[in-house]
Amino acid sequence: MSKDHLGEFEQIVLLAVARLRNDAYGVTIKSEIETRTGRTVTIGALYATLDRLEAKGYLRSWFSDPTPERGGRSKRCFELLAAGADALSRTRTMMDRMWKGVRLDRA
Amino acid sequence: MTAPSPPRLAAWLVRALVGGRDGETVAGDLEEEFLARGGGAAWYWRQALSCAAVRVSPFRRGLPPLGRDFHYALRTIRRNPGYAIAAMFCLALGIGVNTGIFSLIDELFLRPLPIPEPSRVVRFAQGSEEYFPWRDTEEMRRRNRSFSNLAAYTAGITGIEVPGATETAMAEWVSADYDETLRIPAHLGRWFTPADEVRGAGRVAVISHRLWTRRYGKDPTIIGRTIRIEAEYYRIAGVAPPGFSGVFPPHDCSVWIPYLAFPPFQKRFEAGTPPRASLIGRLRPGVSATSAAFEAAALQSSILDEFPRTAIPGRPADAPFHLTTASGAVPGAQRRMIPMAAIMLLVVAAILLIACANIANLLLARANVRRHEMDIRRALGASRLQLIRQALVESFVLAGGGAAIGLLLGAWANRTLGLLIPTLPKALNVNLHLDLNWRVAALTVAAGLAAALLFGLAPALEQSRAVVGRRRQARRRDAYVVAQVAVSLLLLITAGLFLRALWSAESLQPGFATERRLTTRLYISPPEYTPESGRVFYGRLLDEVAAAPGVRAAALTYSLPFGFNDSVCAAAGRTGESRRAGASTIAGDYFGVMRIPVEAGRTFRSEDATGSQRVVIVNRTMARLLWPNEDALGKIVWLGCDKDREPARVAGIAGDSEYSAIGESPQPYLYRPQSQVWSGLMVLIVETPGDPNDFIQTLHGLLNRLDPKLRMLETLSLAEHVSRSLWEVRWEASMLAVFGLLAIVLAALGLYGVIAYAVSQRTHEIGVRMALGAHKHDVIWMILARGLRLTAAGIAVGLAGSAAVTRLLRSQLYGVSPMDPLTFCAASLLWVAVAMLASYLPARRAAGVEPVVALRYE
Repeated sequence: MSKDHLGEFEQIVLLAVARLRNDAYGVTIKSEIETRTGRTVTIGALYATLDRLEAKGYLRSWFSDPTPERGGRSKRCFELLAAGADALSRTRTMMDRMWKGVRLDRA
Repeated sequence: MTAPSPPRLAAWLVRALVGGRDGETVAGDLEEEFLARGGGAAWYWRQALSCAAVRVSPFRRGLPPLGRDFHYALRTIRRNPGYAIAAMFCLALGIGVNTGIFSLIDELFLRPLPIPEPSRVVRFAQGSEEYFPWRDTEEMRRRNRSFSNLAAYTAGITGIEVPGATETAMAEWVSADYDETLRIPAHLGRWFTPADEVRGAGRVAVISHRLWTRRYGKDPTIIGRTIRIEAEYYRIAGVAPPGFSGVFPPHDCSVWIPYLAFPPFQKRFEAGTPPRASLIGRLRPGVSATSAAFEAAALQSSILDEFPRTAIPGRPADAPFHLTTASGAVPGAQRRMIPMAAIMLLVVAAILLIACANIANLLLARANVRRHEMDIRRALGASRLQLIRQALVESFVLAGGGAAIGLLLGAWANRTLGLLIPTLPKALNVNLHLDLNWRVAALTVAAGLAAALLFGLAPALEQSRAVVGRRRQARRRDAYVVAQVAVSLLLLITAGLFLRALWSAESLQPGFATERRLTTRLYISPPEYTPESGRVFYGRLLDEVAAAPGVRAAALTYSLPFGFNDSVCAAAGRTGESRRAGASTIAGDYFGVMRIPVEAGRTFRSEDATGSQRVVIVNRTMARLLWPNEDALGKIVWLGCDKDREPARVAGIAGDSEYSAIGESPQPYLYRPQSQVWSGLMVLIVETPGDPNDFIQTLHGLLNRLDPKLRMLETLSLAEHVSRSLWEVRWEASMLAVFGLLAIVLAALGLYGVIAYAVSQRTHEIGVRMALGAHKHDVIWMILARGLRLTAAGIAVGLAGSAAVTRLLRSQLYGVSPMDPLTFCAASLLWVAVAMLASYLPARRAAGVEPVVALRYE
C-alpha cells in the first residue's frame, strides 16, 4: 500500500514530467512546477524526489549529450513510465472518490 | 557586458555533494537557470545547500554501485586467476603471521578471564606489588562498600601426587568467596564454603578441569576421592569449570585450596605471621573501578594508621593504588612481556608491509597491461573517481581473500607458536590459549583493510590517470623493491642478532659449573618424615650418593639457579630499611659441587644445628649492599619482612653467580643451612664422572634403595636445566628467524617480479642488442646489474635503518652488541646472494631470447 502511495510533491513532480514529455530535465521540471504552482522549489529537493521516483520504477532517466550553453555539461533527462502513469491515475481516482459529494461549509 | 558566472565555491559544493556524473548534471542545471534569471549568488547558494538533501537520500542512484564494482572485480580475478592467487598468497602470509601474533597479544593483554561479566572484576595492585599483608586484605575485605564480593588468593607452586606420578603444579590458596566473586559454578561437586575455613574442618581441594582430564581421564566418580598435595591428603570437593585456570594467567592453576586447610599456612596463621595475599573483587553494580580505587586507597591509609608497620621493601606506603580489570596475563607478566610483544608486533607489521609492496608492484604491472581497457572505459565516460573506486574494490576483494586464507594460516601459526612454548622450568605450568576469537579476527580484518588501502591506492591512482609516464611508474616499482629489501634486511639483522644472543647466552658463564652435573628434585614430608628424621634421611642420602662409584661430590639446595627462586627480606639492623634478597637453603658440599668460591669465612658445618646461633652465607653483592665499605664477615643480618626480624650471623662470603636469568646484573643472595631452616623439597645435585645422563639409572636405583616411596620430580642435567631457562630468548630467536626468512622470501619474490617484468618490457631492446652483436653474458650481466643496483640501494637503506633501530633492542640481547658487525655483514651478504638468484632467473630467460623473435615482439 505504502509503495503505491504518492505524496503531494511526488504527484506534482510526476505530473510536471508528464506535461513536459520530451523536454523533461532538471531546469524545465523545476520551472514548470514553479510557474504552475507558484511555489519555489530547491534543486536538491527536486533531485531527491526524482531519484526516489526512479527507484520506485515510475520514471526513467538518461544522460543527454553535453550542450555548450550549460558550460559543456550534459543533462539528465526524465521520462514517465507506465507504472508512474498508473500510480498517478490511481491517486487521482482515490482523490475523486474522496471529493465526491463533499461540500465545504464555511462557518 | 559579460554574463555573470555562478559562485565558484558553491558550484564546487554542488559537485562534491551530489558527486559523479549527477553532480555535473545538477551543476549544469543550476548554471543554466542562473544565466536565465540573470544572476543571484544568494539564490545559487540556497540551491547548492539544498543538495545536501540529495546526498542523504537513500534512493540516490549516484551512491557508488559497489555491487557492480564487486561483480566486475570478481570477473577480472576469475579471468586472471594467476595474479590473484599470487597476490592473495603473499597477503595471506603477511596476514597469517599477524593473526598469530595478534592471538599472542590478545592472550597476554586482552583476553578477559573466562567468567561472567569479566569487566566488573578487578585486581588490586600498589605500585608494581600485587601482594598485601594479610591484615590489610582482611580489613579491606571487611570494610569496603564498593565490592559485592572481594576474595583473597595467593598463587604458588606446589607438589601434587596424581595417579602414577608426582608433579609440580600451580596452586591457588583462596578464601571461600572465591567462586562467588568470579561466578564460576563447579563443573562437578562444589567450591568452598565458610565451613571449610574454620580450624579443624576437613581438608578439601578443587582440581582444574585440565588436571581432571589429563590425569583422571574425566572420571565422573572423582568427587570424594583424595589427592595428595605436599604433605597432606585432601578430599576432592569439586572440579573447576572447563577453560578456567585460575586468576593468575598465564600460569595454569591445577588445584585450589582454602587457606586454612593448608597446614603450612595454618601454622603461619597460628604463629601470627599469616601469608601475604592478593585481592580480586567484583564491583557492585553502578560502582566504577576508579571510585573503588579511591575507596581502597582511603581504607589502606586508615588501616595503616590503626596497624602501623614498617614499609615493605620495594613498596613505599604511598605508592599509588590501582585496580585493573582482570584481562590478559597478570600485570607482572605483562610488564615483562611488553618489549617482546612490541618487537613481534613491529616485525609482523613489517612483513605485512613487504607483502603489500609485492602486491602493489603486481598491480602496477597489471595497470600497464590494462592500460587499453582503462582507456576504453574512460572514453565511454567513466570518471577518474569511478576508475579509482573500481580498482580499490578489486584490491579489497584480493584483501578479503588474503585475509580469509591468512586466518587459516593464523590458526596453524597459533598451533606452531603454542608448540614453540616448551614446557620448561620457567614456562612450567604456563598455558597460553592461542585461539582465534572475535578480537583477533577483528584485528586481522583491520590489518587486511589497511593492507588493501596500502597496496591498492597507488596503483589505483596510477591506473586512473589518463597519461602515465612509463619511467615514473618504473621508478615507483624500483622504490618499492628498495624499501622491501631494506625492511627485510632489517628483520634479517634483528633475527640474526637474536640468534647470536642465544648462542652467546648459551656460552655465557653463569658463575657456577654446569657440565657433568645431574639434578633431581626430591620431596619428603610428614607423615613419613618429621624435620628431624628428614635431616637424618637427607644426611644419609648425601653420604650414600657421594660414596657411589665415580661421584665426585653431592649437595642439596632448595632453589636451583634459573628455576623457581625464594626470597627473604634482609636488613643490617633490627629496625630500619630492609631489602629483598634471593635465598636458598642448602646442605652438603654445595659450593664445591657448584664451583662457587667461598671468598671469606667458612661454609656450613655440622655445628650449625637447630639450637645453635643461626648462620648465613651471603654473596659478595649482598655483603656490599648491607655493609658498604665494611667487612661483612661476622656481622649480624636481620631476616624477616613483616613482623619480627630474626638475627643470623654471617659465617662466610660467597662469590656472585647468576640466579634467575642469564646475563642478569649482580643480585643480592644468601644461603642458609638446611639444618637450621628445614625444607623437605630439595634439589639433589651430583657431580658425575662423565655424561650425567649415563648416571640417571644408577642414581634412581640408589635413591629407590634408600626409600622406595621417595617422591622424585624431574631428573635433568644441570646444563640442560640452564639451557632450558633460556626458553624465552630461544623462543624469540626462533620466531624471529622464521619471520626473517619469510620476509626475505617475500622480498625476493618482489625483486624477481620487478626484474622479470623489466625483462619482458625490454625484450625488443634485448633483441636489438643481440642482433647488434651483444653476447649472452652481456645481456645477463645487464639484467643482473639492475637487480644488484636495486639490492645495493636497499641494503644501504636497510643498514642505516638497522643501525638506528637495533639499539632499542639492547636490553633483549644478552652480551651481543646491537651493531654486531658479523650479523650486519652476514645478513647483507645473504641478501646479495638472494638478489643474484632472483635476478639471474629472468636474466637467463632474457639471454635465451632469439633475436629474430625478440625483434618481432610487440
